[in-house]
Amino acid sequence: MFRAVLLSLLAAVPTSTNYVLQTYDFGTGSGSGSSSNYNLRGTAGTAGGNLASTTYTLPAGIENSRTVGVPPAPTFTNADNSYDRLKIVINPGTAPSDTKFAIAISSDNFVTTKYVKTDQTIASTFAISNYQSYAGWGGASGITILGLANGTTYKAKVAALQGVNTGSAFGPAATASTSVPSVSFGLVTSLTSTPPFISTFTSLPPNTVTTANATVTATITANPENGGKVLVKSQNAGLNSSTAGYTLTSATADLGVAAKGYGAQISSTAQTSGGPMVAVSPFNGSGNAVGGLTTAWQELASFNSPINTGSLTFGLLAKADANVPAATNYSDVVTLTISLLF
Amino acid sequence: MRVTINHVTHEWLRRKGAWALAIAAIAVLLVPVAGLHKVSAADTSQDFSIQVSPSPLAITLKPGVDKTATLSVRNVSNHSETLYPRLNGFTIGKHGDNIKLLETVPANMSSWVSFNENSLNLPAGSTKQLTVSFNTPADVGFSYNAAITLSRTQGSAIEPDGLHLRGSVAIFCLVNIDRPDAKSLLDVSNLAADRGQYQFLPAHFTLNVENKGNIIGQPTGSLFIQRSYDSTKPIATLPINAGGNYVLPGTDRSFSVDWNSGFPAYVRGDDGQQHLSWDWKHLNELRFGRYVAKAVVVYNDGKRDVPVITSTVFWVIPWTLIIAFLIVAFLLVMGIVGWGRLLFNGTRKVRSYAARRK
Amino acid sequence: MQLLSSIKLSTKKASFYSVSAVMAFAAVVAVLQPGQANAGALSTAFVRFDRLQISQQTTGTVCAKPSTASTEATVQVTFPTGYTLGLAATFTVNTTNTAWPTGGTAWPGIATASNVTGQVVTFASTDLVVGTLYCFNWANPAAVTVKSSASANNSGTITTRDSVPATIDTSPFSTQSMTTDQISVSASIAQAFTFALTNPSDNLGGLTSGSVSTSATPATVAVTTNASTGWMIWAKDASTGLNSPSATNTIASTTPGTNSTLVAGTEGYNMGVTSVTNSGSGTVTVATPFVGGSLGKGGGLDTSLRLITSATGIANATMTLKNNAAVGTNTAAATDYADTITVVGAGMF
Repeated sequence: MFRAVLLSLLAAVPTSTNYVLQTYDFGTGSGSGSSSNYNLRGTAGTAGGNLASTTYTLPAGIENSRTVGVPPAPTFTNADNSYDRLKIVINPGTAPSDTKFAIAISSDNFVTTKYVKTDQTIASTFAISNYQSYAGWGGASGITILGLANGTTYKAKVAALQGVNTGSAFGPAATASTSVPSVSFGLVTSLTSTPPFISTFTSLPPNTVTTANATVTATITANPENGGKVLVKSQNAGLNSSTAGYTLTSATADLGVAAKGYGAQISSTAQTSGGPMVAVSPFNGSGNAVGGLTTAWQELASFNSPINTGSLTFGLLAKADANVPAATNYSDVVTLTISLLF
Repeated sequence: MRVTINHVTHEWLRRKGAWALAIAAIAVLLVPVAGLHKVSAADTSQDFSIQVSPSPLAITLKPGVDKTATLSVRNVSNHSETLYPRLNGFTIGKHGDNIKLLETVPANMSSWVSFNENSLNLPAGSTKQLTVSFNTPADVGFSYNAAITLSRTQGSAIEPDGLHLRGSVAIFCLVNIDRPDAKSLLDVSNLAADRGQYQFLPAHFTLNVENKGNIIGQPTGSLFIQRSYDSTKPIATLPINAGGNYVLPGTDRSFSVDWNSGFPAYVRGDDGQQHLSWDWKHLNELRFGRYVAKAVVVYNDGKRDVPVITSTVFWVIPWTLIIAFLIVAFLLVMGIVGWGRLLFNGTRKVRSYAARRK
Repeated sequence: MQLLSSIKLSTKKASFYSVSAVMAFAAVVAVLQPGQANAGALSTAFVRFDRLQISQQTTGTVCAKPSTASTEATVQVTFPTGYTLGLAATFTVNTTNTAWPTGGTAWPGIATASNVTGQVVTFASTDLVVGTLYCFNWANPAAVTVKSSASANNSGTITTRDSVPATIDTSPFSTQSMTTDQISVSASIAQAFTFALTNPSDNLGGLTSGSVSTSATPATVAVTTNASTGWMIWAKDASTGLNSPSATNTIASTTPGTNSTLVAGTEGYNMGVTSVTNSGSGTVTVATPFVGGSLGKGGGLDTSLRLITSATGIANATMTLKNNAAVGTNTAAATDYADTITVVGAGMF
């Protein structure tokens, strides 16, 4: 057995029939470790010159003696308070303009890694198609990575690829977190910020368009990616008097022309960012044009994307004619709610 | 047409004689005596169409404290109007009837009631506000009744060119003075149904409210329909004086309330005629038996709400339905009895036959 | 030896069977565990509460757009913490479009909830199509009561599951609870009174002793009011008759306050209300002295205002006023007979 081991060891040294090299190494080479057509694929001692030819480069993930530079950490943010996406802007560093980049993302410090595809979604597999140019990744504006879990901290890092086979390792990571779906909705009137909220037509002289003494302002900050709406409905679909047994019906109309009626009109919309908040017909009239209130939900205003401090203000207008029975107890109750598409 | 007599005419009459006289007499009779101006087409430029609100104007004043009230005046016509406001008085009968407008102003109100404008110029279709100022003296009484009239002319001069009608609108002005010794006191009496017994609803009630105080009252309240006077769950609650009528001091006023939620019930159709309505949705409102109508009228005496209560009893007995039910029941019973006898007798006969056969 | 071999063999068999049993059990357990690793996210998750007010019972709407192809069997809605849920039987549902998001369609197979555990309500469902927005409403307000304190970001989830049940898609939603979500509106409509007098210039034509003359184009009075207190109309005559300054003669009014019918050849002058139309629910009454309706019938006016018609209740009425005049053979002829009649209307108190 000892003999067999010895012979196997001897078989590993360079030998010929007559000669055995007692010591050997490759020494220090000089010149290029490559030719026009070939280069060394493996580690060949200390190489000098380029490990790339016109035609061939070493692929990423392999230690190279000369590769495209590792990209710096990207800019990774959640500026929109999003719950399922984050924004990334690649920092190209000093990479040549034809450099391509790939993005890796992880929620567990790269114990598991996913890769951003060119359609901005993420996948577990990595392919050469994950690379695209700086411009393809949105350039200085960046892109939004979609399909993320809410309330999660992510790290993202970038690798570069230049030419065909020269690629870098993934660079340092940046961190950002997704939010959770959120909404904050409030109501005030021009008379008070604390309930109860009351808007009164002190007197409705016949044939005169009258505005109630309080406007209503609804404010909302919410991050539904698909936007949302503020809805309104009326208890009586009009101003009702039990004493008179009569309802001054609400209807969409120009009260300056109609003989009588009652409805709502949005006077302003605003937002700090996002949205925007848009008044919806028929409540977006002007002058004496009002939208009719019904007992069913109607859209008062809408926004197509997350919105910060969005607001809408509406007032109530009414007009009675001489046929509307006199009474002091006409009333209605207007209810608001929110409809958010997360 | 004037008839004149001269020399030529005299000679003509002499020649033609009596026939001429007769013909002339007839002609005189047929000729119009008074020629009034003809109006060939409807002249809307003189039409009068005015809308006022509120009507009446009710206000409470404090002695020595000035206050204003606003009347909304709208010219509904298609031409401009100039209206002159004026204060008038009115009298009222003991029972709130026989209201007479007066040219005179009561109790020197004209010295402390004024208008911000002597005239209102209203373009066609326009609305203007007329401010009424009450410079209330310190030594005013308890209540005042007046009427504010709006007319085209300030006087009552006769228009010389024919017969004309002149429109004018009046707004009753009811003034209460909020003074410590003002007394609000309403008495309720004579609550009665127009019948002691009804076959079907509606039941019509009248209630008399007398103002025994010294300020104008506006009673409110409810008429409760219930099974007994002390019942805590009324069958129906009907408003009294839903229209907000006023009762002047020293007068009384009758208020009407109808209870018509029954099955069946008389209703008035579009033709104005009453007919019995069988609305099956109201089947659970079949009325029968003794009911109590309890009127609770509330007024504020300056310190608290004071309820005044009165009641009356009435019956609802739907005789027609009862008789119809009895007839149907009788027929049913007779039918059952008849069938029963038939079965019994038939069975007995069969048994006896069977026995004989054995 | 044989004994030992036998023992070994038996031991091996026992070990083999034990390991097999353990592996089989593990496999069964693994199969029975609800799958987690492959759940997707709904493309859209939507829950609208019809009331946001604290402690308020509410109905609402649930919408979801699946993103993972599978065969749905149930949908679970996890309501936010603090919201009080009724029994499963209270979660009755319908698929009436109540301002659903654009594109919302009826949720297939949705039915009254089968289970309520904690904040999780489970509804039956049938298969959904990826990319389609489905909606349903819970119709009984007793099913859900908004939490008792006002707060933002009240979060819940919507989860679709297959028959295992394994999660197919899940997504969160958020809502708000607030002190009040309502505005009370009140209005007061004052009593208004409209009085219109048309054809104010009356033409009696030529007066002869052979006949009684009446208004060819009589005046009309129209009254509208929104008050149930009714109204009154008065009239007065500036000269208590038709007066001619030139003839220094007055065709006098008939006895004021009485009703009479003029006779041809006998002087007289009166006014009658000849027709009344009423479109309101109230009742119009013509004062007895001024009941007209036939030629020359009416009542006399003087310089004091006399009631000619009145109404109780809401009565929108139009009345025709006809003036009548008759002359005798001795009536002074003149062309300037004139009169002014003032007609006053007022809403009652």
